[in-house]
Order: sequence, then C-alpha cells, then structure tokens
Amino acid sequence: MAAATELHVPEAHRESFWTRYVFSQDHKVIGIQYLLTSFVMLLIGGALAMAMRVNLAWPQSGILQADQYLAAVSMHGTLMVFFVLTPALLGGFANFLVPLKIGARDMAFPFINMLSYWVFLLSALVLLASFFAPGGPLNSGWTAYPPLSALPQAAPGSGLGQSLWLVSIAIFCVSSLLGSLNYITTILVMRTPGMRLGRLPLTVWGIFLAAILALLTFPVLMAAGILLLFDRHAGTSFFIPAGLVVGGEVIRHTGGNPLLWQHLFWFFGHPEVYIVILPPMGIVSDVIANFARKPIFGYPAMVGSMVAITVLSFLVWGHHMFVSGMHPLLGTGFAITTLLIGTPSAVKTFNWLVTLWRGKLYFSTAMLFALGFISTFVAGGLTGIFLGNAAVDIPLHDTFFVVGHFHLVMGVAALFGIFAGTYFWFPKMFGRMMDERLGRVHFWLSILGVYGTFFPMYYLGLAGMHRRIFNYQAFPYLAKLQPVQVFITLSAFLIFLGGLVFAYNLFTSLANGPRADRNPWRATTLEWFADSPPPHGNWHGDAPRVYRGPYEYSVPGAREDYLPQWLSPVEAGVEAEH
Amino acid sequence: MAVTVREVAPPPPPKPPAEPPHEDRRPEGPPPPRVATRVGIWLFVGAVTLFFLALTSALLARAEGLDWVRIPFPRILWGSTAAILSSSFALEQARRALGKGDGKRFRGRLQLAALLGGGFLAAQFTAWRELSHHGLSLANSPHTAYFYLLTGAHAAHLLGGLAWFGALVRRARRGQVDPERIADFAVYWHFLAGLWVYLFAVLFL
Ligand code: HEM
Ligand SMILES: [Cu+2]
Repeated sequence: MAAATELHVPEAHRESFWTRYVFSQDHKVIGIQYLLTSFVMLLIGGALAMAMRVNLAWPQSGILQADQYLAAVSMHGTLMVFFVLTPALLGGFANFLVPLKIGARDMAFPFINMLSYWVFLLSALVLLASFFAPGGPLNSGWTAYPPLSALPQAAPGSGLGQSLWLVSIAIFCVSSLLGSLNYITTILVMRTPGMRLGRLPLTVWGIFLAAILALLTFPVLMAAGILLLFDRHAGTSFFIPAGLVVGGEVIRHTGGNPLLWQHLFWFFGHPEVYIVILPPMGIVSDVIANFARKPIFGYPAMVGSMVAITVLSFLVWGHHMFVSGMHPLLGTGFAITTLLIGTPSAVKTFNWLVTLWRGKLYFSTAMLFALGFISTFVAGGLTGIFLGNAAVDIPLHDTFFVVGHFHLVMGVAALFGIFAGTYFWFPKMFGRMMDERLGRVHFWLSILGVYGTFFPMYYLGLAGMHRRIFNYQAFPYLAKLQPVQVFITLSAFLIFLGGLVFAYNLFTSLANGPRADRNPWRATTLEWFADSPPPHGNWHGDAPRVYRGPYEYSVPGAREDYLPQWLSPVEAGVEAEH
Repeated sequence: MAVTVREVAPPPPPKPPAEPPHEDRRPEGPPPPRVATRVGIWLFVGAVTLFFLALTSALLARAEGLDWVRIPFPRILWGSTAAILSSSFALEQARRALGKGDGKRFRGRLQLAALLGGGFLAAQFTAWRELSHHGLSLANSPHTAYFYLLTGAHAAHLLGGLAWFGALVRRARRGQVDPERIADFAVYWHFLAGLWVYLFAVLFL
C-alpha cells in the first residue's frame, strides 16, 4: 500500500500512517485497497487457470490429480467472479470514482465504507485458508451444487474446504451489502448542485444499477448459503434428497430438493454477471467518448438500455437450468426473457459503434482495451442467443461451448473494462502516467491470447468436450482433440504473459512514471477537476458545480474541443444549456 | 470507415481554471445531508426483505411435499405477536408525545416500547424451549427446521434493533433527543414487526 503515499493532505489534517493508508475512511484509499487486492487475487486465479490448461493440454504431465483439478476449477471460478471482478468494480472503481464524479467529498457513510473493505479482506482470507484444509478446497465448482456440496463425504473437497467456502461467501455478502448501501445512497443524495441524473457519467449509472442488483441479490445467495450450512452441520435436509448412497452408505437425510439450491443460486447468479458487466459498460463509454472526442451517441438510450438490462436480469435465471428439469412452458418463458435481454445489449453495442464513427480516434491503451471490450462482448454475446434457446442449450449445456461463451462475454469483457479503467484513471489515482508502450504490449498479448484461448472452445464444445472434466482422454473421441487443447494452452500463456507485463508496468509506473497533471486526457467529468491525486476531501476550496452533460466533446463554436462539466457558461464562452 | 487517426498524443490541456480561494480547507467538507441515513435504512430494509423472501419461498416450495408434518403450535407465540405489535404502537405514541413537546410521556412510552421488544425476545425463547421439550429439534422435520431458522434469523435482526433501541433510550434519559433519529429507528422497528406478522402467517397459516 505504500504505493498510495502520494496523497497529500492539507497541513491542518495530518494523520498517522495507519489512519491514512490502512484504516482509512477516505473513499479513494479504500478504492485503491480494493483494486490492488483484486489484482493479487487475479494473479492467484490466473495461476490456477494455467495449471488447469497445462493439465488439459498435456495430461501425461501429471501436474494435477483429479480432485486437485476440480479444486482448481472451483477456486478459479470463485476467485475470478467474487474476488476479482466484483470487488475491482463494485469496490475499487465504485469507491474511487463515485464521489469524485458526482462532486461529493466522500461517501455518505465513510466508516461503513471502510468496514466493507475489511470484511471483504476477511472473506478472501477465509477462502484462501481452504487451500490448507484437509482434503483441499471445494470440488463442487463455483456454483456449489448439492448434494456434492452438502455431504462432507461426497468428495475430498466436500469437507472443511466446502465449509470454508460457504463461510467466506456469507462474509462476502455482508461486505457487498455495506458497499452497495453506500454507493446507492451517495449517488442519490450527495450530488453537487447541477448534477442532475441526466448528467451523470455513464460509469456512475453502471455502478448505480450494479449496486442495486447487488443489494437485492446477494441476500438471496446468503439465504441459500445459510440453508446449505444447516444441511451440512445441523442435520437438516433442505437440499438433500432421500435415498442417496455415498461410498456404499445410505444417507439419512430425506425430502430435500437440490433444485431449490439451483433456483436460489441462479436468482443471484445471473444478476451477478450483470453486476460485473454494467460498470465496465459505463467505463467503456467514458473512455470511448474521450478518445473519439465525440459525445456518446444516444445518452438516453444508453441509460434506458442499462435500466432495461437491470430489470430483465431478475427474470432470466432459469436459462441456467434448462437441463435440470422444468415445465416446458416455464422453459419457454425463460428463453423469451433471455432473448429479450439481448436487445438492450445490442442497442448499447450499436451506440458505441456510432460514437466511434467518424471520430478523431486516438488509440491509447485505455481505448484499445475499450475496443477490446466491445469485440469480446459481441464475440461472446452472440453465442448467448444460441444458449438462450432451451432446445439448443440442452446438447450444449456444460460443454466448453458454454465455457467459451461466458469467458468472452463476461470474464474477459469485464476484465478488459477493468484494464481500460486502470490505464485511464491511474494518473488520477497516483499522479503518474502508466507506460503506454508496455500498455500496448499488454493489450496485444491479451487480445491475441483471449481469442486464441476462448474461440476454439466453441469448437471443442460442439465436438462434445465436457467442462469440469479431468481425464477427457478416457473418451477416444475427445482424446483426438488434444492438439486443439495444446493450441488453447499456448494462447492462454500469452494472456498470462500480458498480465505479468501489466503488473510490471503498474509497479514501475507507481515508482517513477512521468508526473501526471490534473487532466491529462482533456476529459470532461468532475474527477479531472481535482488534483492528481486528489487530496482528502477531493477539492481544495469549494466542490465544483455542474453546468452541462458529461460528454460535451467537439462542441461547435466552443474554444476547445471539449467542455468540462465544471466550466460555467461564462468561462466556456458558450450559451448555457437549458 | 472514414475515420481520422490522430498520430500524436493530444496537445497539452489548457491552463486549469484558477484555483478557488483557500479559506475552505476542511478535508471532509460539509456532512452528508440528513436524508442519507434514512435512505440507507430503507436500502438495508430492502436487502433484509429479499433475504427473508428467499427463505420463505424455499419454505413454500417445500410445504407442498409429502413429508411436511406440522408442529404443535406454541401458544406463547400469540404473546410474542402481541408484544411486538404493542411495542410498535408504543413507539408511535412516544413520537407523538415528542411532537407535542411532552418529554415525560415521550420517555415513558419509549422505555415501554423497548421493554416490549425485550418481552418479544423472551417469548420467542420460551417457544423454542417448549418445542425442544417436546423433543422437536432442527433436524426433526422440515417444519421444525424452517421454524427455528426463520424465528432465529428474525430474532437476530431484532437483537440488533434492541441494541440500537438501548442507545436511543440512554440518550433520551440524558435529555439528548433528535426526532429524526427516532424516526430513522422507527422505520426499522416497524419493519421488524411487519416481518414477524408475515413470518407468523407463512409458518402457521
Ligand atoms: C485469463 C485467462 C483465463 C483462462 C485461461 C481461464 C481458463 C479456465 C478453465 C480452463 C476453466 C475450467 C473449465 C472447465 O474445466 O470446466 C475455467 C473455468 C471458469 N472460469 Fe476461467 N479462465 C480465465 C479467466 C477467467 C475470468 C476473467 C473469469 C471471470 C469471470 C473466469 C471465470 C471462470 C468461471 C466462472 C469458471 C467456471 C468454474 C466452474 O466450473 O465452477 N475465468 N477457466
Ligand atoms: Cu444467466
């Protein structure tokens, strides 16, 4: 954390090292703590992915045992979803950006905000502790379906490892609640004069809607987790059906329903993918408008489509359960809502493309990753239309087709959004610029790597390659696919290499990147009115007022090719917007 | 596509607007507006609602099963229902007295409301004792499992509310009264009463 030591606090307000950088209530420090923690988790989750890839490409290498493979799949998924994407976005960027962008000096509840980070860190440590549990971490995947997750004797990782996972996720739910309470309240009541809802940068809209989703769905996951803990430790049978025989012994539980877990989990799980994609949609909009020097095309449609996605995402969870058995009519209903949700996503994509059209494009690293986001979001999203149809999903379910789909549309796209945001706001966070040359190396390794890794997975899936499978060579028709697996693994190493370049860039730029001034990208939103890095309280003197929308680039008749939100009409030399 | 690609980095930004005068250097700036707390509490209530909706929808799905055996109804639950509802009522009376500037009646009703809240917990505890005397434990049947789980989760939320209530009563005794703080608390307290009525209905009707 010594990284953040550039923050300078007004003389009157000197604090000790501990209150400034460790137990800080400053939203910017908390945001950076979240972001750096997520990057550490990304390294661990990425290393697990590499181990799995080596196993799939060269099974003879013996790098993982069967249960270790399942543990690696499960921990990789859990780390990436809960401990990388969610906290980096609804922790890192939400904390750092929300007050700065709406003209507030801090969050509504700074103490609760600090608490949310420490509770989050606790949940991460509990999860990592499961690596040292007897039997290792959970084996049941990031979705933890019972009965595998409910019966301690079901698999090596179903014992302490599974319990630690559940406790960790429950703690995580608390942290998420504390965070989203803060983001929503802050955006609702702490906006500076002039910052009407219709002038909020799209990043703030994305965070706002994601926080609403988190607020309403994590409690459902918490409820499911508590039921499962009771099944494991208190002898109840919420999820465990009668008549199971494990290891030759009849289980004494009766009457539970494993499908209940799936309903509760996916009621949370589907909105969760939008929790991690709505904020990047906003970040990408901010970045694209800036580096195309154009207003975002159709701002109201952009907001409207995000709201539509938020509402619809509560109604589609059943598309994860087409093969679990459901009434055909219900399946049709879920298929229809799933296809409907594609419409607002398409609206957003077209609006980004029109924003780029005839723009003065400048390909900074942030811009490259924003374009990469659109590209992988489309390459992954289009196959969602296939999977949303029950009839097509049934043969494809639980194959690598699905693995390719969700990695591109959600995993990689959200990660690219995080990278775009990091390159874009790093100067504001630390007062220094990142190295653009290394940034480009990072980008090209990543984009080649992710297409080389995840696109062939569509082919693997169509060829019948199952997911979460350790020894696919046992099936001759799958063993023939090994050359594709080798190609994928080599590509995955490119991604990992890119990640190392990023880490190197991050640390060297923190130490001796060139100094950034207040507004290096000549951007329009309020965070660029503050010093780089902003002091505690964000602005010396009064907080800025807002006079116009967030994307006034290339306004005809204006002196500069951008009109910041804080410039009064007199300073700007243009008519006030009514 | 007719795009113009700019080769070089954008030119340096124009001079930043003149630094505003420095007399206001309070790093925290003005405190958040009063309404923030109220919004935060409503959001918290929303999250807790979803938590209980998830648990009770699980119950309703299970209650259609063949293994659903109803537990004997613990009579004391009528007592706890009466206690929590009159606690809500007393809290409202306290607020009305405060509005009229009647400090004595305000403190009296406030303490009564807190006591009734404690009484509710005691009654719930008695119900658990009674059932376990009958040999009914969590693992016994789905109805007992949901009964203990839902009443326990509700009691945990109420315990937190009581701690908050205790702090308010202590402040009121010292003569520090802020009607807005009482109103904040009332949102949560009435919510817990309403939640109990809902749980009671789901469990026994
Ligand atoms: C960066 C390169 C990445 C590689 C090479 C990679 C590779 C893999 C592999 C090999 C699997 C196991 C597939 C199976 O056997 O079923 C997997 C599963 C998964 N990955 Fe990744 N992954 C990467 C990044 C990500 C990211 C950024 C996310 C964020 C969402 C993510 C989320 C998941 C999830 C949720 C699973 C499913 C876990 C489960 O089945 O329980 N991955 N990944
Ligand atoms: Cu989904």
